[in-house]
Amino acid sequence: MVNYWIEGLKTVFEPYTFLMTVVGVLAGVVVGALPGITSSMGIILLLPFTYYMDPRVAMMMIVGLYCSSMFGGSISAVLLRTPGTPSAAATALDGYPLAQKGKAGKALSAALLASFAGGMISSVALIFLSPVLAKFALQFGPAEYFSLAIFGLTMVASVSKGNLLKGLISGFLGLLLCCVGVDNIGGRTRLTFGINALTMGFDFLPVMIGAFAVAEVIRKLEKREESYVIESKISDVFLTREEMKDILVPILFGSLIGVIIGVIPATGGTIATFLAYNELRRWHKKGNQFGQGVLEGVAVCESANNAVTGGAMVPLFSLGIPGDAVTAVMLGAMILIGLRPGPLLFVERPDVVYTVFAGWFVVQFLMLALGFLSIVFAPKILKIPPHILMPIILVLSIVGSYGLRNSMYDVAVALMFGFIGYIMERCKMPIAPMVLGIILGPYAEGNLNRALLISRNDWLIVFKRPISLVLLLAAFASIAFSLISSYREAKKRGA
Amino acid sequence: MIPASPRLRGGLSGGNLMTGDLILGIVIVAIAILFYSQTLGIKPAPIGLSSADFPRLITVVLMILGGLLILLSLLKIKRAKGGEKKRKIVEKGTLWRFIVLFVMFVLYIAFVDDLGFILTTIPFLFVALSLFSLKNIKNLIQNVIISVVVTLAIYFVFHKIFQVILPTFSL
Repeated sequence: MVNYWIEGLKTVFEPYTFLMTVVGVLAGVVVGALPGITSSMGIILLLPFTYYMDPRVAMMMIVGLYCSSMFGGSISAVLLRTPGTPSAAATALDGYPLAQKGKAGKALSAALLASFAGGMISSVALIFLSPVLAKFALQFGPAEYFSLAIFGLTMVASVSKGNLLKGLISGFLGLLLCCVGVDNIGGRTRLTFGINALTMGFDFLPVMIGAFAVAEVIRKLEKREESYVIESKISDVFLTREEMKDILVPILFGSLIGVIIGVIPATGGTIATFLAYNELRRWHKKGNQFGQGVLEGVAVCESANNAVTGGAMVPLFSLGIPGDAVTAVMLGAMILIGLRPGPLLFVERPDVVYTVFAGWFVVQFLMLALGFLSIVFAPKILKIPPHILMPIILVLSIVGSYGLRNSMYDVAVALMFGFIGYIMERCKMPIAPMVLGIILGPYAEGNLNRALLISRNDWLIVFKRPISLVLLLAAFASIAFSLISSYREAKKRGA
Repeated sequence: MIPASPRLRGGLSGGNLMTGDLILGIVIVAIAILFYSQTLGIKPAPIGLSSADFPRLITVVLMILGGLLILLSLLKIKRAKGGEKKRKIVEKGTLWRFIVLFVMFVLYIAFVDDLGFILTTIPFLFVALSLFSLKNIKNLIQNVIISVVVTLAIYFVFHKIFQVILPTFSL
């Protein structure tokens, strides 16, 4: 175990890995800062660069982007009142009023320190919980893996924006789309409608590029924007000792909430930040000043936001099921660079696991250093005009989908799913479950087949094995819970 | 009363979320039936899953979910009694930009293998930039420069540094 840590650290500090991590962290800050470019989109755009990289280097780059984009979101939240990432929405509540008071620099410094602390504290969950959970999951058989895939899918569908029914439809559409082409079990062609090109099926990468990146470009075509106008100036970036002291408790509180929420699948940063913010406001002595521009409000959100990152990696690493859209994309990214997240990852590729563990801390320090620089240059980052950025993203999407198998078919799929993703968004149908369905589909089908082979075609096997039953019940409970809460909301609105 | 169906007059207008849901539900059920019909010729496996079993399971669930969506939207429409106002789905100008972008996608895919990445991406990027620009004429030269520089830069970075093979022009 100690050996793995040492090896991991050595890998992280190899010049090439380190350089790529720096690139990832820098890209993350920019991606996070720019409204309209989410962390998921950032990871997708980064993928073509990683096709021929060592999986450890690629993982460091992706983790760097993921963590620092969470901080980057606060830059636009503070300066523009538009959160760069959805989870930074709560940061704007106090961040923007602070910027109006001329304290944008201090607000961003507090956000950075809180992000750093949140990220560090979240490593506890990642490092201690994921191996334990992975060890437990080693007992899983095919029936459990099938139920796990269904559980993951329903969890993401039940919390996705829009509504549960559309989320589920989106997820099952994904499962259906992954069946098109050559069948993994029997090797025969199916669902191609006699169209030759469809035998290549729908790989999840072009679908992901289309639905997350191209669709966003098309959406921006509808609402074209010139460069953002930034009114506040960044001057005083250093916090006084008093201010540091003030934000300490909010940071610890936010981190705690973030870690707990992060570990629970299908929750994510937005829930964690709003929960932490509201709870702190209730009992903090400055609670009545929240919303008018206090550093505590920024600190609690940003620490919660970044504390989610380590927690959210736990189910992804140890079980292979993602908690939200970003980790769903990360699951795809990991498969693409040759890794299969899940309990076997700890047995088969401990080098990768421990590189990420060791690298997690390095990423936080890099984020602290580069984040500080980015505060100074923040207004310049936001000056990148969307009308130039979006077409470039389109070309990067084309290169990314082409590079997968050197085939224009994948580019066509990506561009087509750009339009499909746009239409889905207009219909208020969440996209993440569909992408997750395509990723998890072959895995669900393969395991269901194995379970049936073992049980000699007993379809009830998935209910007879206790862990499998618990997972299916949990999936059912998440649907029921979501139905009840939406019913209550509708009733409240009606009243 | 069911509000007017989407039609083309000054852009796509008419329709609201309820009728949208109704159409969506019908489309989902239709897709599910279409895909289910594709599995009919596949022989069952003696043990384990045949190629048809998993897609059948999924399509049946989709039919149920789509049916539920239809049912719920019909209930909502009945309750609202056409009270919800019509709203424009897409503005006319945006619709044109969508069509141009779609045509560019088709042309790009059709020509990139023969003409290569650079020769097709430069005009593609130029048109895309023009679609996004608010002041078309003023930005013309800027857009030309950006299209050329960005295309060459992307080609160099991916082709030369990251070894991603991109289509090249050959006679």
